[in-house]
Amino acid sequence: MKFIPFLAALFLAACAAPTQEFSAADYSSSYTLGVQGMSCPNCANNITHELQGLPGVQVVRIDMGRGSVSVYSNSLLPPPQVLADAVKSAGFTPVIEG
Amino acid sequence: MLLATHALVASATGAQQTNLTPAGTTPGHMRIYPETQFRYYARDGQNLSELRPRVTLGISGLAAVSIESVYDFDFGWGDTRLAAKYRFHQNDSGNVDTLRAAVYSGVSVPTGAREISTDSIDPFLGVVGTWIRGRHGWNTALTAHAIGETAPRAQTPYQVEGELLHFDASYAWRVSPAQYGPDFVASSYFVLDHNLYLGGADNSEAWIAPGLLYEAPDFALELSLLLPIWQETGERPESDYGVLAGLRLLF
Repeated sequence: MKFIPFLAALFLAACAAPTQEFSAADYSSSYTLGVQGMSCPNCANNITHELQGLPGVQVVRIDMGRGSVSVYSNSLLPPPQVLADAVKSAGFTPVIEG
Repeated sequence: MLLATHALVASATGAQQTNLTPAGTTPGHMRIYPETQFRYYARDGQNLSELRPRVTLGISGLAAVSIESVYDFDFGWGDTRLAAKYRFHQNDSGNVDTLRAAVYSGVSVPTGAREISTDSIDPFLGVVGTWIRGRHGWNTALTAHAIGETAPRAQTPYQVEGELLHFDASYAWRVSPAQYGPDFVASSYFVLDHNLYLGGADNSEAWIAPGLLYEAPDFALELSLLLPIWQETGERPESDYGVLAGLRLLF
């Protein structure tokens, strides 16, 4: 039974969300698009992974409350349609705003 | 084990997929989703402990393939299931609200130890629907199996020769957070699975399984209590209850 405290500690460590300092002002370009059907943390992770694979995308921020995803870069971002295609490839419905 | 095997068929990940019912979801493009469940069944004089590892690969936003086996702590590795799933319907109607449906099919290949292998290639075909609305999620799946031979030590409905229909239904309630905010946080769910197996007079059973699901962005933890509510198992042993603990990872 000695392993139980270890497992408990491991569980708590795994559940602790890492905090990351982020400031939009650190990036010269950004784009936000809406996403529908993003119903769980795994969904958001799928979208993050897909967008981070695009050239130029440095940071991906998900707002599950608003149903939006923002990408940031100090170089040229991909066109909105490419971002939307990536969201679709992750299995969700993109909404290009404006 | 009883309840469990079906999940391998179609599950393959993600959004409010409960512990024992497939979901109409798939991993994203080229995402790998390894998961395993430990299951313990209390039986009259012959308890059963097993691990059920599965790996799912997202082919696109719409399709996935998976491989799953079972490790029986008494007999060793069991048969291997190979499956493919395709999501043919998706209607995302809100930030989190979605209605999805998928078909899946595959075969169980007789790779297992002699005692628990059917020694036949057993095909299956199924359909699953998922509806998520706010904090609530529902999954329903129907799968048809054709099993060619009975395993010498058959312990699950999938190891008995004949046609087998199984129906799964589940409900998930997001306990926390009540509302998603700008932070990218983990979610906790109360889940309730119902699993019904119809394989004739000596191979039918029904289960209910209340449980918990903790889902972080890149992993999930599962815990369920497995309760039989009806068993007509013929030569197979009946179960008193079971427990399930699972881990899912997302790469």
